[in-house]
Amino acid sequence: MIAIPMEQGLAVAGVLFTLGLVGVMVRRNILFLLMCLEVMMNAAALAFIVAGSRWGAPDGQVMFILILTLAAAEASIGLAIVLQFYRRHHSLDIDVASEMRG
Amino acid sequence: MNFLYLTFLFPAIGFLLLATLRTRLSENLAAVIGVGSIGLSALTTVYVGIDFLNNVEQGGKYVQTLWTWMHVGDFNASFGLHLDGLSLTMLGVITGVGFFIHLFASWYMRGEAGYERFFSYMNLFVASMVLLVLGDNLGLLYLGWEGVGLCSYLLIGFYYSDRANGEAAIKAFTVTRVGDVFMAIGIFIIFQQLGTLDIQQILVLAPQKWSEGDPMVVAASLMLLGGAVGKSAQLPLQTWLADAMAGPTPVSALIHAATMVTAGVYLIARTHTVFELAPDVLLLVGVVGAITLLIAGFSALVQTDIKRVLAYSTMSQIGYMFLALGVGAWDAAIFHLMTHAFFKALLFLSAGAVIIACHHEQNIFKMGGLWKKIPFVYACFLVGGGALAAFPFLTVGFFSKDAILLQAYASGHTNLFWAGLVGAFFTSIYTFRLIFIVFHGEEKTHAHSIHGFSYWLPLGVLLVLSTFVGSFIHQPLEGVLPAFTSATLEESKHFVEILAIATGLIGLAFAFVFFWGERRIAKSISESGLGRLLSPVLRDGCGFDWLYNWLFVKPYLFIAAINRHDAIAKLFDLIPSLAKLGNSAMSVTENGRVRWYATSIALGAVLVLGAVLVLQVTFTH
Amino acid sequence: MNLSFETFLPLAPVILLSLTAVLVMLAVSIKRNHCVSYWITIAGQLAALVSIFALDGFAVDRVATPVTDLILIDGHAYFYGALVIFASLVCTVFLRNFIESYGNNKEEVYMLLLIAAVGGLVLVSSSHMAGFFIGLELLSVPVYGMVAYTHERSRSLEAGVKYLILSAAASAFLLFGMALVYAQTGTMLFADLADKLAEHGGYLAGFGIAMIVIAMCFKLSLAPFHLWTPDVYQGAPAPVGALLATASKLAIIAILIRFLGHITSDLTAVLQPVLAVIAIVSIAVGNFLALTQTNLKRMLAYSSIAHMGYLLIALIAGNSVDVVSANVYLLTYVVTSLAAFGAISALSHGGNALDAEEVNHYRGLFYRSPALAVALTLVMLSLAGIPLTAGFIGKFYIFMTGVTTSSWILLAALIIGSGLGLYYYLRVMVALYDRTGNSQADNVPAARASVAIVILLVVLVLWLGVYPQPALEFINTLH
Repeated sequence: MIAIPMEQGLAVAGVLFTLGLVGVMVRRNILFLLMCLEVMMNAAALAFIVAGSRWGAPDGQVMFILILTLAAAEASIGLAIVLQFYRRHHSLDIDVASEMRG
Repeated sequence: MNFLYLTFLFPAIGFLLLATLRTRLSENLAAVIGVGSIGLSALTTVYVGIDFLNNVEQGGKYVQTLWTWMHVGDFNASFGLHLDGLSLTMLGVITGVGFFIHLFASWYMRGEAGYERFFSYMNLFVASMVLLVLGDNLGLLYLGWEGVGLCSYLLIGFYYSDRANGEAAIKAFTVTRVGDVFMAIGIFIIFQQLGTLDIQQILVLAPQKWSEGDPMVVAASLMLLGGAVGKSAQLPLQTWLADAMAGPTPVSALIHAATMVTAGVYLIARTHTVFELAPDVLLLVGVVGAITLLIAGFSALVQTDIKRVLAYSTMSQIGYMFLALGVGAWDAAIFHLMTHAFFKALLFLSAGAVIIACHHEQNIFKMGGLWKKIPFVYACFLVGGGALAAFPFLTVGFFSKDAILLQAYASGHTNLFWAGLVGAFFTSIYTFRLIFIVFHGEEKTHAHSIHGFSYWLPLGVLLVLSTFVGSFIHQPLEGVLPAFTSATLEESKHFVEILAIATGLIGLAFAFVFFWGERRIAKSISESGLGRLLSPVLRDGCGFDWLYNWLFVKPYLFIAAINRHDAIAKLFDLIPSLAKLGNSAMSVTENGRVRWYATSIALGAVLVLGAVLVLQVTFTH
Repeated sequence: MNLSFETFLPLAPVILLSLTAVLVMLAVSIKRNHCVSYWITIAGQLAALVSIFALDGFAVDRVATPVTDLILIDGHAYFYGALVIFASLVCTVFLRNFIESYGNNKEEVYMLLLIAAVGGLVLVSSSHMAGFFIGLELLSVPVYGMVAYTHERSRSLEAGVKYLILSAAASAFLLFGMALVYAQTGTMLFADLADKLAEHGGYLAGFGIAMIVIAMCFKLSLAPFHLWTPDVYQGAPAPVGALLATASKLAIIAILIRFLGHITSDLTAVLQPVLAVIAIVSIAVGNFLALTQTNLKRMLAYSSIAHMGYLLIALIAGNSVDVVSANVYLLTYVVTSLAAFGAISALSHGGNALDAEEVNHYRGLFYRSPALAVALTLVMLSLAGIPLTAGFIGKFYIFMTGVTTSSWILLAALIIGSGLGLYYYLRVMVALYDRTGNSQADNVPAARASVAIVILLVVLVLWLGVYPQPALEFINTLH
């Protein structure tokens, strides 16, 4: 098996992270926003896996599971809020939520 | 002695109660709180005083650390009360005399609007004054100093609906503030030079740090003197005291006669080591006192308002104290401070009684022949006036003033001695002028007799204290203040005494000739050309008001008129406009849009990461 | 590793709080009763607080006790832990009156609060990246729910969405940073961090630590990561705002202090100028934006940005963390902020469309509710850092840190910021005594329990300001 160098693995993770972040900045649909956040989290999780494989330790994978758990929790509470949001505004456009400012 | 803090706490609580409950209190309840708090404070003082005298050796002290605010590194802000012979004497005067004046005031002020407001200010005053004399560091002393100044201002303007009273209050506040600024500078100099504000440490450190006549010590003591003359109404900051009589009479008795105006004397005595290191400034203290006592004495001669006569006499008596300080007669100064508190409080309270009896008439030429109507007040006035004029042997004022004159003579400052003697002569004249005009001669007003427990008890007690009985009170000043030493003290004793008695009696005789009965001579003098010229000048305090008006007020108004559009403030207007600019620039960022918020996080992250990268690279190379 | 009862004993506060959360959940599932849930919550938090003292948490000679690799209990952890529980306890009382009039389910909010408190406790005592992460998320995720709890209010919902999205993004930063640090050093234990960093060098770890710091800055609402703060503070129910402003900030600062203490001095030197700029910008932004604010909640949010900027000075001045200054500052800040939000909570009701948040609401409050008005006055004075209030003591410590480390630029920012602050704090105070004000809030009686707690807190503010020495000595004996 050819080992993938750590730098390349981290680079992929970094690109994913940036993509997710850019998505959060440009997407308007809240569902997509949540997905973009998921991408960012998973980018971090990937980075942990890569790091763990460098050190040959299970810590990276443990962190991966923790991150998945968090992502699930975040998605559930996020979806609950989105549901309420849709009920009120009949829209999933995040820019609707700009009542408070100044 | 552990209860020392209560002397401060009782009036402070009294103030808080009165200030928060305000009109919800009935007059009686307000009086009970207002007078009772001072009474408790006075009782505590008696207890603490007895304890102190029995358990602390002569010249010793008792320090109670109340409160360590913060102790951070070298910075130690702790506050304590310092009790020694000097502060005990002051404390006794403040709470003792203060209590009787409060008691009298509960009678005098009855029925006035703002009864509880009056007592709340009075209690705050006593609390501040106690803090002033007990504070173990200059910071605390300054706090009390400003506190009494504030109360003085509030009480002078107590009848604020009359514009003149408000103006008198502002005048007093402004003039004393000039002194306070000097004093603050003095305190800063001391702190900068010695690194401490603790008074006892200052007294120890000052001779180590400064040699005699060092410019810094001269500057520091001059600045402290500036504060003292402001508070004690001495030249050149004396002009406010006569106008301060606009306040209720008990206020004049407590603040503008017995206690606050003597704070300057206390300050100089407290920091005597600093002044001793600057002998020229110390001499200046004496000279200021001498000039003030003469000018005030002249002015008192022609006043027509009963309270203004007493105000000028107060200035002149404090002049004696300053004179005593200046010649190094520390004990005599404090002794006179105490006796003056007794007899001047007595005089003011009696004057208050006279004013009440005459239906709020203060012009002495509209009174007359009152001795039949209010014989008790007459007796009080006789004893108080006698003490003021240093009537030999029978009154307490004789003993204290004699001590000052004797020590002034023995110290070799004969000029100051003669000034004091001339002053004594005038004191005698104006005092008996006042008594003759008010109590003798023809009746010009229908006075009614007055009654009441809280009216005669304070007067009675102060009456007794103003006779020779008062001179038996021993002040525990040995070891606290330097003793007066002079080789010629004993031999000149009789000479000075005889001279002083003679001066006083001659003054009395003059007063009798001029002002008894028809007062023909006095009238003819005042109607002569010289009299017409001089009497308005003297009546207005020797023209100092006029002088200051031209020197300070007019130029100030002139500058203010030129600067009507306030060019300097324009500069400061920049700050708010800058702030507004910053505000509006930044408000744009808070547009409420999540995606922009996320973008700002991303931008911030790029900046931070970029900076971290650059810094890492630079640090490693 | 030998896992025994004794091993977990130091974790008693965490365990007690978790049990309480479960208990509340059970109670709700059996029968909904606001009163029961409330008292269970109060009792659980009191028990946790007592357990800290029972465990001799503040004994002078106490040594740091590790509980597994993830948790390290020491004086620092207990100090912040106690503060977190105290803050959440106070918020519970504020919540009760607020939520009573709320039409929908009431009881779950206590559960969320308890879980957040558990998260705070884990966070302050964690000594490992995993503990750090778990604690932080346990603290944050329930708060999303709490912010949006009154979802009938569109603002509450909006604040919830905003906080959820931005906070999750920040969490991703944190995780990615941790991954980078782990990739470079091979350890996630704080204790090994300095050695491994020195051993393995490289820019990657520096990057990772910077990303962790960015996430922390977001949570502390430091500029330029602060934009969410006013919206979330405004939209969140007032008692939840209190929790956000105190317990959440406290726990994050505690972990930041611990974390920064474990990185190499080289990296500290790299971070120091960056954080200095962040501190200065935060002070400027917070104060400038607060100037014209007429909404009290938003004003408090902006002022908290500035306050966090002041606090940052203690963490970075002179290349080392001045823990004592930071602790003193936080103590005073938490007590004051709790009182401020408590006053708003006392006048707000979950059943209404809006909280009592406009300054106009408070116009002439003195004549309706004098005690509350006086308390709010003192709180404003304390926030402004006027002597004889707690705020002054905190600011004084920061000031001393700046002076002893000769950080003149930071000091200048502190002084100018405090000057600006005076303006908007005083404006609120003036409104309180404005007789000509309208009487909008007449029909909203102040909640008694909340007012009592606010007064208690204000007494604490005064006590800390007038006689701070015992508290200062106590803080000095920690560690």
